[in-house]
Amino acid sequence: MRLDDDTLLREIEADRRGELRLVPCTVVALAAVVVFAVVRTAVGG
Amino acid sequence: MPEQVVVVLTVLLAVLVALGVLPVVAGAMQYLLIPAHAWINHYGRAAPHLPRVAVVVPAWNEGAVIGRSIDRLLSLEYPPDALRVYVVDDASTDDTPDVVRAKAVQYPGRVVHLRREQGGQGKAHTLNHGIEQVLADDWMQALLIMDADVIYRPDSLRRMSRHLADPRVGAVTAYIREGSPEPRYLTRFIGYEYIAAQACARRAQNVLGAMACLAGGAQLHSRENLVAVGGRIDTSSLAEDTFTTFRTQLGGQRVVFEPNAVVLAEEPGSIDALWKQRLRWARGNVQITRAFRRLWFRPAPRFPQDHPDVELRGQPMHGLGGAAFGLIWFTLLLMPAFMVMVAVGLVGLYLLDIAVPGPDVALRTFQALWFAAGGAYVLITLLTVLVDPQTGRRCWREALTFPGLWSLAVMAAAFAPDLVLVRLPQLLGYTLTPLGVHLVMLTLYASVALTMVGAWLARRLELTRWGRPLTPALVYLVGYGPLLCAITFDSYVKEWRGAAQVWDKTEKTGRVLG
Repeated sequence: MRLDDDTLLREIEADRRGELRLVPCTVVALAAVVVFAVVRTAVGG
Repeated sequence: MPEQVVVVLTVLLAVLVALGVLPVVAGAMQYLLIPAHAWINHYGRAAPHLPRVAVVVPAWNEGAVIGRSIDRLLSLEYPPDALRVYVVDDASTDDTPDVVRAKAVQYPGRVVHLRREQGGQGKAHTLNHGIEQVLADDWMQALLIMDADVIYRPDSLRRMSRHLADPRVGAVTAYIREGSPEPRYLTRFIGYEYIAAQACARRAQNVLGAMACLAGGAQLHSRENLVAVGGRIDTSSLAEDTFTTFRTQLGGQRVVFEPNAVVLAEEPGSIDALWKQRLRWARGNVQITRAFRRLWFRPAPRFPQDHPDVELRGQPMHGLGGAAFGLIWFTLLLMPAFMVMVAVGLVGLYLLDIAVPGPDVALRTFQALWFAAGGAYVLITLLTVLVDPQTGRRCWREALTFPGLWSLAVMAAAFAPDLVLVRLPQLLGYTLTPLGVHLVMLTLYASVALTMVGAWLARRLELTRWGRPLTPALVYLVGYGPLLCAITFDSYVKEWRGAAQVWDKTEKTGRVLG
């Protein structure tokens, strides 16, 4: 593994961009909460 | 009963239940902060930075793991001449000294064996022995504190050190992941817990700008920060990691969580060992709460107007006193109390409903409570698994049963009471009497607190001859979450009684392979 500045900078940038995946993950989880609420309301009244 | 008394009692009991919802609110709030980490993170100020790192490893009877840990450390993707390992042997009685001395010969100048002839005072004393040595000369630019049994991924140290390029950062912590190659039921629960408590919660704390704790097995301090916190680790509490974390932030230095620096750790394989480890942590948190009592929910002092960093002038020095951070801290600390409050509130409302027939307040409150808890459960469980899908895949069953099968059944009963009161008895061929209905409802209402009793029983059961086959079933039934709450409750009792501070070291076997 090379530890020059360019390589390390690219790694930082990749990790920074990697954090963007948290957004779709949260959207999926929130969609599941909506489904839960709808089902609960429909079934339980 | 006079109407006004009924109204006052109803309101008081409903408030008890409402307070019990606070952990649900805090949990959901914390998880809603996680996506913000896509933008509010420290990568913008990170830069290539490979300081000379002294690794201090406290070791007491770590012969089974210390050799491999040293090998792993010295094969990290990090400049070899910028990495030294100082093993502080805390008067080990096994072959730890021989193993470390052999490694010192194998890696001349890179491994140092420090021996304490009288040990057993705890991790902080052991660490201080090593820190004193590394501060004695100017070689060390950053200090990595770790445990003897943890395994660093090859890229983890350099992923941590890049944040120290920012002089505002005093310390960096990594993502500790449960690392057993063949996890048992308890280690799978811990695996899921660590995604939630670290990969998720610490991202949220990055966003809030307030970190609750540097992981004991992975904390990288700048030399300046180490000196600023007094050049030593606090020895007065059982939570020396948290103490250092708070002292760092109170001094105006940031603490950053690096989610991509992964460190594998071996975790307890029995409830008894888990109980001892977590009791130490929970008691430490009670001590921290007391020690920093003037901090909570109060505005932080501001950086002086002549601070060398122009951007910081007039800015708050830390985020520990923020309302959101305080809510997260206290809802976790007081979780058992909240659970008891919910049970007392619901049972009280039910008894009131019996005494004064009217609108079914208890049932409506019960349903609203579980509606909120159900929504938070879906959000937290799914997002936790998605944040670390690799770990999530192997512990999805424990993710689903984290609150306990019993609590999930209670949730179902809250949504459809007829199922429990009418259909299930009919299925079994009988009809519930009015007394039977009361008993079932009271059990459901008190169940939040009763699960903690079940968790306590699981620890007792584990020590019996039937423990091996039955304890896992009981833990899945009552839930791992309530087990942690029972331990926290125990910490209240121990602190209240002023029980001796015992350093019950978690036994390690070296089964983590990385």
